[in-house]
Order: sequence, then structure tokens, then C-alpha cells
Amino acid sequence: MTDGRLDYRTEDSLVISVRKDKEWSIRQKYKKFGWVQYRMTDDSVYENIAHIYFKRPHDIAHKDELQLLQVNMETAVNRLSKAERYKNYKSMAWGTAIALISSLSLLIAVLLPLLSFALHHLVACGIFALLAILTLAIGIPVNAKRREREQTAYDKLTLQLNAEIDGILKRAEQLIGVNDEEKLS
Amino acid sequence: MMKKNYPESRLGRNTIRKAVYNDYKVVRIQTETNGWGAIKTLIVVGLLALQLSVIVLIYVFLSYLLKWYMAFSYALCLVTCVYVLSTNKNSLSKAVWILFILLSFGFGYIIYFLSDERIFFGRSKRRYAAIFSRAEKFKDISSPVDRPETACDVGYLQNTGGFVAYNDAKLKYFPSGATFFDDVLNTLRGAQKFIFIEMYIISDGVLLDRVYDVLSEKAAEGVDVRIIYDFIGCHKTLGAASKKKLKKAGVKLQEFNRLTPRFSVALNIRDHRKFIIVDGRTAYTGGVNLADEYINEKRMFGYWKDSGIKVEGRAVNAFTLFYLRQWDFVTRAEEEYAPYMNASDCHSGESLVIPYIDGLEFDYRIGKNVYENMITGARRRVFIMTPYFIPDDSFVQLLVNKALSGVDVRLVIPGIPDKSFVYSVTRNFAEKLLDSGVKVYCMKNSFVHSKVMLTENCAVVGSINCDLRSFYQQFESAVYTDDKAVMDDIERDFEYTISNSEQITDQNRMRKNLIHRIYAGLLHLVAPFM
Repeated sequence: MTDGRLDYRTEDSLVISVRKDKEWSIRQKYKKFGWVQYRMTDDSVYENIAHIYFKRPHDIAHKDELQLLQVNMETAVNRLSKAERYKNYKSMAWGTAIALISSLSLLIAVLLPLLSFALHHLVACGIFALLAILTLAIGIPVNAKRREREQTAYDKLTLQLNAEIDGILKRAEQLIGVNDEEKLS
Repeated sequence: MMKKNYPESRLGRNTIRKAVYNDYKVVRIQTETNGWGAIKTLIVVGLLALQLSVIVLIYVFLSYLLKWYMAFSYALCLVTCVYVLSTNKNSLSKAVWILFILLSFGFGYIIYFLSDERIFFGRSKRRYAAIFSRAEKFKDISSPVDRPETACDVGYLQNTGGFVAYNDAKLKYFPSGATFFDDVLNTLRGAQKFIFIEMYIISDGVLLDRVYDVLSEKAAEGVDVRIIYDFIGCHKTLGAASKKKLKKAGVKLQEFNRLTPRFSVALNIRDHRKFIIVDGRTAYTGGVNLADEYINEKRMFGYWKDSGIKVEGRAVNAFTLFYLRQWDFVTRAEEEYAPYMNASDCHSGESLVIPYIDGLEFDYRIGKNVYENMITGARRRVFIMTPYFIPDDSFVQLLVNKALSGVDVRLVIPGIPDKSFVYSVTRNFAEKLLDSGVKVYCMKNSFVHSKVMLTENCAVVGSINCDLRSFYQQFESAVYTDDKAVMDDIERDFEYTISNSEQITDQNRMRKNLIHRIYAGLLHLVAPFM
């Protein structure tokens, strides 16, 4: 951490907004690109959001590649977070639909004989009861399979994105390292 | 998200922020916005809409009072359609205009004539002609060209715009805005006589601050510092305070084509050129504007891929002449050219360099035709990098024919759009080429803003997009060259960009989607204005 002053003639700056629970890991990632944090502020509205101010020398070797790698890293990190958030949204939607259909069918099946014991009511009651049972009997295992598939897809995507992020960070480290060596020589 | 306990009055703010803030995002880069620009745009658009409404109301009023006006309108409608067909507009523009005139029967032709550059740009064109004839004596004599592969292109450029071929220039290609502006700043620091800048966009920010520091210092030393900027390009980005600061520092500022709330063709004619000329010894052009996003200091649409070229040697004379002519046009003054010309030394070299410009001052669509001539002459490869790909039929057909003939045709477009509707049309046009064997690439997580074309014979680096606005409506600048080193650099840039791109294939094309095809088809109606 350095003092809050920034010289725009010799330094580049970057401000990111980040969730506080990920702040440390994100900061470490940006360090690999040569960014040094010089200030951090809390968001004025959200308690769990922080704004981190970075700076880096303007004349830095391999800047173009570092900039592209950084964008790729940010995209991958955000994709990872998005994937985590939405990993089960399809099975969740299906599960909700199954629960709604079965409970509604069950409710109708219970209500119909209460209204009257007419034959057609009893037949309809049977049909709705059967529908509720079938929806639950078929829907739950099918949705469980779907959830399993989603989890597998999520795991695969997570592995892929983490590998991508690791690769990017490794390359960034190499580039920054090369820069240091060049400076030393 | 956890919320702090705010009084009721703050809750509204919370709601607004939540809508803006995608909370699945872990990282969000802060960018700047200028609300005043949007208000100004809104006012101007409102006033334009008001004028259009007045035109429509007048029409309704007249048609109510005078029944025979309908017959008159019908005749005028037909005459206008015939007139449109006789113009040298591209076929897509003609089709769209005729459709508009017929659909808006009775007042469409009025709007057309209010938008016709042949009528409303005539006076400006005469002024350009006078400036050109005064500047004629400062033109250099072309160097001899002995390569048959480029002879036709050279001939075309000389015969249409009087552009001069040089064979003693030193060139350097920049594959990014960051490297481009680092070099520009170094050159500016060494300026002794004059600095001429012509930019489409100048934006408040770190880059302008860095450039301002040098310009103000140079102006104080007595260096003649001038800037021409496009009014539309800068109206949302260059604040009044910055203009005042620049003027106070001694920089001469001129805006091109100030937007007035009056419906005319002039609204659509923009100065898209990018020049930086220092002492008549060094000149720069390319796709980059003077704004933070071009050097990736500000994040707009992922990584910003851009390019530019530096020219040293006698060829800079051509740039100086282009600039002084434009300065005369915008200031309506008669500038003394002699003190600014022939400042550069000769460099040893055999490569061909032709700086050229395009705009409504010329009778030919030079930018488009040079691209087409290059494609026609290619036998092995045609590589194109452009942010927008909305060309006309002749351009598309040339690319298709070349690809079908076995030429390696590659097109690199952005992976992230800057304007979604323009991108939809771009993707649509690009994907139409796939069947003929053209390889289309989208640079991942990036916005490609470079305007580069490379064949095995030559290369062009400049501000000319492959779209109808650049081809027909805007003032553009570029450098044509067959310099081997520059062509190798551009080839490496293409290889690097393509290695970071996703190739569009049958599997990931957008056109498969019916809704997208309908949407893109509708957007074709406004494509000539994009």
C-alpha cells in the first residue's frame, strides 16, 4: 500500500468495484499485472462493496498484452461468479414448476369431493390425484438428474475458467517478470 | 446484497443503483459519463423532431386545403425517385431512399432534398475547389513507381485526388493506441515550429491531460499549436472547461461542422480524420482518437484494439497540405502555406508511401475505391480489420469472388459491440460471406477499432471503416504503402489478433436465429445512415 497520490504523467490508474468477500483474491490477481493499490474506499450505499484504486508505472513493457490479458481475466472472473450464481437456475425453475403443479393438482383433488360427491367430481378428483402423484414421481427424479447435469456442467466450467485464470495470471507474471529483468539489465 | 439502514429518502437511490449494478459481477471498472452531453443531444433531437413535425403538419394542412396538391406530390415523388436513381449513391442507399419517398408520399421528397449533399454541399464544394487551386503549387512531384502490383493504385490515387507518391519515407506501424500515443507524446515534446492535430473525438481524461501538458508548454515556447475537432464527435466528451483551458494556453481550436438545430445534410457530414503533424517532419494517422479508451486507460467495451502509423520524411508535406486546406475551410481564412511546407529531410528508402484523404470535396469515393482496387489486385491474401462492416454490394461481391477464387480472405471484427444495432448489421453482413469461404473472426472480449487492410502487394492504415458512412459521407484519412517492414508488422498484428479471436462458423453464427435475421433485415433499412 502506498500513499494516495497519483502522478498521471508517469503512472496509469485503475479503479475497480469489488465485493468485499472477494477483495483479497481479486487484489492478488491485479498485483500480477503490476498494479499497486494506493487507496480503498467503501461504497456509499452497499456495505459489501469496496472501491479499490490501483496505480502502475506508465512505461511498462508488454503493456498491450497485459491489458488484453487483464480484460480476459476480468471476464473470466465475472463469468465464474455468474456461473456460480446461476448454476442451478434451470432445475430450480423446473422444481418450482413441479411443486406448483403437484400441489395445485392435490389441492383440486381434495377440494372436488368436498364440493359434491357427484361421479364426475370423483373421477376428476382421481385424475388430479394421479396427476399430482405422477408429477412428483416423474418430476423429482428427472429434475434431480437435471440438477446433477447442471452441477457437472458447472464443475467443468469452473475447472475450465479457473485454469484459464491461472494461465492468464501465469502469463502476466512472466511478462511482469521479464519487465523486471529488463529493468535490472 | 446487504443494505445499510438508510432513511426512506435514500431508498430510491438504492433501487436505482441496484438496477445499474449487475450484482453477479465481482469486478466492475468505473467509467466516466457526461450527462450534459445526453441532454444536449436530447434538445437537438427534440428540435429536429419538431421541425419534421412542422413539415408533416404543413403537408397535412396543404393537402386538406388543396386537393390538387396530391397530384402535384405524386408527380414530385416520381421525379424525386428518378433523381435518386440518377445520383452516384450506393445501391442500398438508393433503395432505402426510394422506399422512404414512396412510403412517406407527399413529404418524403422534401426531406430527401433537404438531405441531398449535391444541393446543400455545393457551396462548400466550391469553397474547397478554391482552396485546392490555391494549394496546388505546394504539392510535391510524385516519385517514380516501378512496381506493377501497385502501379494501378498509385495511378488511381493520383488521378482522382492528386495524391502524391513518395519513395523516401520512414514508416512505423503501431498495433495499439497505447504505443501510438506514447510515441506521439515523445514527438510532441520535441516540437519546435508547429503542431497540427485533427481528431474526430477528443475526450476529457488522462490522455488529454498528458497531451495538454505538452501542448501548453509548447504553445508558451511559441510553437504554433492548432486543433481541428469534429463537433459531433466531441460534443459529449470534450467539456467547455477543457476547451477554455486549451485556448487559454494558446492552442488554436476550431470545430468542424457545428451542430445547429436545423435539419440539413450537414448533420451527417463528419470529419472522421485523425492527424497529428509535428514540424512538418513527423505525421501520424490511424484509427485512434484522443480519448482514454483508445489507450485502454478507460474501459468501455473490453480491450480496445486499435492501430496507427507514423510517417517521417517528405511525405509529411502531404499531411501538412491536407491539414492546412481543412484549416482554411473551417476558419474561412487564407492561410500562408509556405512557412509550414518542405520542412522535412529526405530519408533513404524505396518503399512506396501515399498519404491520402477522402471526403465530399472529391468527386470520387476514394476510400472505398482504394480498398476495392486493393482487393481486385490481390492474388494471395486479403486481410481486413474493421470495427463496422456495412459495405455496399460491390464491396461484398469482390470479397466473395476473391474467396471463391481461392484467395485467403480474412475479416476481423469486434467481439464486443460498441453499438448493438450496428453490430447486428455488421455480423449479418460478415456472416453472409461465410458460405463463400471468407474467414470471419471476432476478437474475444475486445472492441476492434483498427481500420487496416493488407494484401500481399500493399497495406492501408487509416480511419476508413468498411461501412457506408466512411465510404460515402465522412472525411477520412489513410496511408497507402508497400513498405515490407510495415506489412510484416501488420501481418504479425493480424496473427496476434486472430490468435485472440473466435472464428465464426456455421455453429456459432447469429443468422441461424430467425428473430435475429428479421431484426437484421429491418436494420438494413437504416444501414445507409449507420
